[in-house]
Amino acid sequence: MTFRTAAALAAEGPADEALHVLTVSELCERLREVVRAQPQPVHVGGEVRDLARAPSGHAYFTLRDDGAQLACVLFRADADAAPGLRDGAAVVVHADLDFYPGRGQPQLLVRTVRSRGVGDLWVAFEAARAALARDGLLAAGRKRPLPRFPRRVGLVTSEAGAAVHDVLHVLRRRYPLATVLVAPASVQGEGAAASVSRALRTLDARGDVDVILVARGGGSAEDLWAFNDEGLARAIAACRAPVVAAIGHETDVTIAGLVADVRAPTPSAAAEMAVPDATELERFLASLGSALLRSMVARLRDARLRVDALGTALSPASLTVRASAARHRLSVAGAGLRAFLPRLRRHRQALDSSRARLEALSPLATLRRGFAVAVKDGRVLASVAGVAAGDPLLMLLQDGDVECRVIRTRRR
Amino acid sequence: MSGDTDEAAVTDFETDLAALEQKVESLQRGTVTLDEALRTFEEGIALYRRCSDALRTAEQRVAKLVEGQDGLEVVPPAD
Repeated sequence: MTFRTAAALAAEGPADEALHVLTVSELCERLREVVRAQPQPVHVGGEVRDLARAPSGHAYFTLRDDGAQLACVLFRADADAAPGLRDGAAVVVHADLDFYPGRGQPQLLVRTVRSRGVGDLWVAFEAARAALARDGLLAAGRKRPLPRFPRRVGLVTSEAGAAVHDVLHVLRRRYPLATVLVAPASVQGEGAAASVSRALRTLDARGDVDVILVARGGGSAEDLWAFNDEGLARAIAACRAPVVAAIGHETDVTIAGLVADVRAPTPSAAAEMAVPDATELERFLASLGSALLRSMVARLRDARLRVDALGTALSPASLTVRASAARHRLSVAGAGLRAFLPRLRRHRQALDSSRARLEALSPLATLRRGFAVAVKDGRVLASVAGVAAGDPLLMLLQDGDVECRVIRTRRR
Repeated sequence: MSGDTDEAAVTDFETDLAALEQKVESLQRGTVTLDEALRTFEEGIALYRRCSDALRTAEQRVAKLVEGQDGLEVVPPAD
């Protein structure tokens, strides 16, 4: 067909020498470029047919639906990512679209294969995660710290599984002081998400639960599916008490685990994270006790040293020392005083002679010799002028005074 | 109801431990008088004993929430 068309074109005339004839390889290379330029990777759902595993470890199969089919290759390195790959299986493959020139056909370079149910779930998982992320419920800043000494631990889990025993065992061993409140829930299958949500709300509504554990043992992705429910995730986010989620094994990523304040790898680990270890607490307590004792002993030693110092200060020997020091100061002062005595005596003599001279000049000395002094109106009377008969006069004598009245005056 | 009896003891443990830490700290600071220090020490020792006893003698209470006729009830587990 192609050959004939080319021949027909060649027969049409002079332009044919300029016509560039592609090789098949060149065309396939162009096709390959076109195919590879498509948005990658792609998720394609279909049924597995003609599965063949080559000795090299690669797997080849056809993915088909009612109207079409595509060749698929799964390389050995990715074979682990396709546990559900078998003939007839309905799957969703996650693949890069390519073109295989050797067969002249497009093909899918498959990275992972999920069974159809899980494939749909995976899409739902991503949708739930995106919705929660949009509302900020996955933000690291939302994570609340767990209480140091929870009084009440809430536990949401199935009563039937091993998880409840694991968690209770660890809680009892580590921190028997806490009361555990178990809120049983269905953790698998239809209605599980709603059941777990209800249990969470019930525990949290009590207002006295300090931390809530949501635990479920390991299982298949389908088994754990309830924990990817968006409603359950929102119930976890709405809890007043911090929530520790332990769903499946460490490798199982669930939406519940992403929203919880703490994601634990296993139910036992969740229990260990939720409560302190009483053995460690006892050690801590012992260290506090000995610190108390040490401080008190140091304090008492300090007080004793101060008392001893005071006792030394008050001892007879110490008093003798202080007394002799006082005596010394006294004798020094005495010597100073003694040195002052001759000067004092000189001053006394000077004072005595001054007084003798003063007394010689004083009218008192005159009085002592038998004279009297007349005083009128507070002035010593020296003349008869100004004195009239009847005037009162005061006569000062050696040993007292006489009040008298003038009889008459006579001028000499 | 029956599961609630130990709550007081547990509450006390946390507050007792915090109080004990405080007493140790104040004693280590050494700014109080000797009389106060002795009182602090005695109180600290009492707190220490209480905490220690609580840890040693505690027995875990496990209760279960079930839906009863008047809403949720707390009952001890069957086993």
